[in-house]
Amino acid sequence: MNVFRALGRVIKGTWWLFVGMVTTTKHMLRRSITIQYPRQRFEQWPRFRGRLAMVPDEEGGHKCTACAQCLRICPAACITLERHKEEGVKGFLVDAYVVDLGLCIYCGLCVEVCNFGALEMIPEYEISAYDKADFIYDIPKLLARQLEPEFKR
Amino acid sequence: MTPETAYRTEEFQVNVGPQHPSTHGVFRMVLTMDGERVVDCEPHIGFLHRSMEKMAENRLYIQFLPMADRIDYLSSIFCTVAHCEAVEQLMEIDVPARAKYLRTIMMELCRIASHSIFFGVFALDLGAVTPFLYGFRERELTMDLLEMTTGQRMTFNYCRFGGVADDLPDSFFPTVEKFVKVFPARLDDYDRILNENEIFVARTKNVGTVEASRAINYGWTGPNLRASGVDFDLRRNRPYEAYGELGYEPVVLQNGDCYDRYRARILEMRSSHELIKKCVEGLPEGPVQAEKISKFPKVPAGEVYVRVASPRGDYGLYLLSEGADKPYRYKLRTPSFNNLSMIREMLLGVYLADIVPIFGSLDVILPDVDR
Repeated sequence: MNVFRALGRVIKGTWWLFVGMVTTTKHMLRRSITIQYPRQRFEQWPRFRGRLAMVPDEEGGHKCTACAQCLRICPAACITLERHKEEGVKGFLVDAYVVDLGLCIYCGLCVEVCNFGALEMIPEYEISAYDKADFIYDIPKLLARQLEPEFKR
Repeated sequence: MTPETAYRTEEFQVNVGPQHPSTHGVFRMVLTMDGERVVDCEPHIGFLHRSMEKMAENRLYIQFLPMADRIDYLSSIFCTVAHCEAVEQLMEIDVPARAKYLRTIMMELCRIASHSIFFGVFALDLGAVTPFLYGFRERELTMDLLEMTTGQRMTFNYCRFGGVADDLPDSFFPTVEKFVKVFPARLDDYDRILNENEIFVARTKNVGTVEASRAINYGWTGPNLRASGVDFDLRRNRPYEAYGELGYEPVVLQNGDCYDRYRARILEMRSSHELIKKCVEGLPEGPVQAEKISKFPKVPAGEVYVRVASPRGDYGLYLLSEGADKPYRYKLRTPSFNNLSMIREMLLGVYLADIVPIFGSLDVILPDVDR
């Protein structure tokens, strides 16, 4: 009796191994879904949050009014702003606006809180560098970009 | 030489982790072995402690939202939903129906993504490489849907107080239709590869059995608890978001061994798929964000406890507010910690080869344990 039971188990095990092999072979014949990264690239979705950038106005300058709402909401405190007041001019003038992308957590809250549409997340994601200083983005670096974003909030 | 001295064995210690690949992160076990049997196990946790609770108490409510994504990074939306619900309950905000449905869709997609990883990694722990590739391939389908809606692949930052950040993009509906059509056939393939596979069954059936009473005593929740035969699921017993309207029946299995814990998750993927289908069909129109909610809310004084059914179990959040713009006390009850707490008792007396299936079947994630 035991012999028959053992034999039955062997047959059952072999059958399910065979079913598994058929499934794997079926999947092997399908079109491959992987891509060869440096040569091929993903097309990013329009909403993809890549690195932070500043939106240029018509003259190529920035739209920042130094209201410092982005500084207030940033969870990682990666934005620094220097501003001063001038007589006769309403509001503040921006001296320096520096983002440390090494600290940024890519949450996009600064873009959401900005009332003047001065910031956006662009689908540029290959920003690795050899030096920590390369992650510090000032205004000219934040305005320059390689890719244009498609999605505007 | 007497028989006693001839077969005298000596205990020795084996150190597993914290860098061992099958500990799914940084978890260390000091095992005392007698031959191939485990005599004692001393678990060490805390390698990934980031003091999330203290960080929440030092930040504005909105500033903790992206941080909550990082408590459990494989199913990050559940933590943000709990955070938002706690604040909404204290501020008495009514969330629009569409926002509730969107949160539900995203949560169920995230659950499928998390369970696909479990399927792949659990099989990989047992030496099967093929399911690992399949699991990650199917995860990519859900990741696409999540990424096109939220903008990120893992740390979504999608929920807001009183709703969600954005409505669904137009590309969502054709993609989700394709996903709903394709996914059940993929789950059938999973069943064909592993369900009756002799090696898989021999290594998981009747290994690490946990009875219902013991599971309840240790505070187990989620699929682990339901695999032990306890019929409890927050989505049915205490419905939140849109679950009350959808109607949901949890998957309950009886044996409580590694095999049943694995099956419970595969069957839960099927029910999640059904829920997504129902949600997309019955998606109400309307706004996705309640009106006039400040970005920097001052939450009224009071306390609240919120529970959310994450893929690993019940995620609890206790929030005590004193009327300031920061929480006074922020306590997290993470499911993985309770699920892991039984590991010593489960490992006593088992073979060395059974350690990996037992640990893998609990589906703990270490940032969730240590937080």
